Amino acid sequence: MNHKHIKSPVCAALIGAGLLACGTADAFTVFSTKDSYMGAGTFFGPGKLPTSPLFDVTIHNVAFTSAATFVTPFVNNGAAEPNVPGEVATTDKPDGYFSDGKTPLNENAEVGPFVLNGTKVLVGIGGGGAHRGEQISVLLDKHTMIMTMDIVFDMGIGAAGVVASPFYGTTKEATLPLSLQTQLGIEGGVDRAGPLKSGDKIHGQLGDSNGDGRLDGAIVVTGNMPLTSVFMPGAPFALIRYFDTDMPYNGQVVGKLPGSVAERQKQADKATYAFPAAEAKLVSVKTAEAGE
Amino acid sequence: MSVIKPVARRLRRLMMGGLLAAGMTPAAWAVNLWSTPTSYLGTGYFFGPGAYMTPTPLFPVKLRNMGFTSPQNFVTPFWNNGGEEPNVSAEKDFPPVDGLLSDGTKINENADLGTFTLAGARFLPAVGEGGEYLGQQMAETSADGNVTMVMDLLLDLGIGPKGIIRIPFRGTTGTVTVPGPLQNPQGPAGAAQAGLIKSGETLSGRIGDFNNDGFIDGTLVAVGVMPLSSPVYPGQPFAMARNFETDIPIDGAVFGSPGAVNKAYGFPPDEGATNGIGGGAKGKR
Repeated sequence: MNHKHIKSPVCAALIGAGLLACGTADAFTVFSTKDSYMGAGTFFGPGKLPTSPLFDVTIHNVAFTSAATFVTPFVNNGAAEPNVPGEVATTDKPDGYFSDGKTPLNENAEVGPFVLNGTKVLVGIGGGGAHRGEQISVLLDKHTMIMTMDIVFDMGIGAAGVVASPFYGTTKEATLPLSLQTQLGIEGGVDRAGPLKSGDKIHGQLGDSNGDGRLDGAIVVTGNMPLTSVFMPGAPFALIRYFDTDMPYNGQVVGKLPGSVAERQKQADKATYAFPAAEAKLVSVKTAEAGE
Repeated sequence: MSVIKPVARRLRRLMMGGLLAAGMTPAAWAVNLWSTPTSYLGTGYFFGPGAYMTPTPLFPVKLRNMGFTSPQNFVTPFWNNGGEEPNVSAEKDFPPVDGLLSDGTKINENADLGTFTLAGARFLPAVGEGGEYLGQQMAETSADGNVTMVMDLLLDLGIGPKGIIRIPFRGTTGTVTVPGPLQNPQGPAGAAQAGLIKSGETLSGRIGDFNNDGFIDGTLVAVGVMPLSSPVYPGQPFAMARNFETDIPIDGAVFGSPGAVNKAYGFPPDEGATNGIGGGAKGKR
């Protein structure tokens, strides 16, 4: 790019639009679909419900904020395209919101519809919670990654059927908890999630299991449905989510400048004022004038 | 040492968990850019607008929590938590400290800018919500290594909507040409100059590691014209040269590598890896 020939604010606007486009195109993607390595994964329970295949998800525009942290920024453009497939499948008028009409979806997480016990459920990352709609992942030692977000289950019946829950996934190990009823000493709790019993452990992984040079793995999560849930209140659930990425397994070198300082310095020879050297000259001229 | 290390690791995990629970990324590890009176070569200077001849020291800048969207391009995301800390430095001179400009526009609080005094007038400079870049600061690196940075810069006199000047900022470490003044019905809005620099003259910046500290630094140059609606120097050209430092290693940094993270924690790179085994763990069923 020859900056010398860019002279107007119109060009600045065009560059901005280009940056927006390039920025999104170059960001990383995490995907977990029935066609990806190992498939999408499995949902256990909640409670006595059997296992269900997990819905497809593709997370776009994943950006690194540090060597060990990456974030999926919150994006929501309302009813405008693109809308997430899960919303398209569960409503006639996708508007970018869960059925309570006030919780926005992070549309960078392209989630498919989730069929749970024969019912289509919209599951997505909800805005406005502790994570402000972002999905945040951190690499820890011994090939462990944790992923957190505010996950929302939506039965499509309005506010009563919208269940928000903190999502804390790990590639290490998770233990299925007791039902909330049992934990509180109340009768009627179901201390299992499908075939898993409370106390059972499920294991994830992180590495390059398919040997394609890219990071992949499995995230495991356990938790309980809230007691306020209209659906299996208090029951434990678990899930294992297999995922692929386009992130190089050995990491991405970022921030290294192409070209050379010597080549770039040639621009100084052609400029009327080459900074920062010109700064002293310009400031001293004015200072001298003031002295006169 | 053998006792301290595991404890330190647990503490680190606890802290990380706390940060995540609070919805915060660990700011200490994020990439930052700064330009202050005490940083390498100082902040730099603003020239003009128009026939205002005295070069004006630029306001301090600290851009935090920048994220890379590609190996060379990075974004300072829009973020605003109202009056809660951290707030931008200039707001202290323009109370109340509420994360807002005087017309109610939200400030991108990842871009911490100090008060700007130009031609005797004090401004609250800020990257504001909305606009061309949705309140973000975005940077692109071209094939020759020059970096171009864009954002919607707002200068707020603190008197409400009429005192807010919106300037599309495009700074580059490459070369820019000082534009002429805007035209109004009576002719040119002012002199064809940005202080000591004449319209049509060119400014070049630079980027590299000139202070030899192992991290990228340089000088961004930018030019523009005050909008005709500006309460000060309407339609008149300006130029600026902004010196900056970063904590981006000149040789680049390895992001997203579990092996590199292991090494940082004192483990062999492959500790805990499941590489090329096929099948993977399916968990206990």
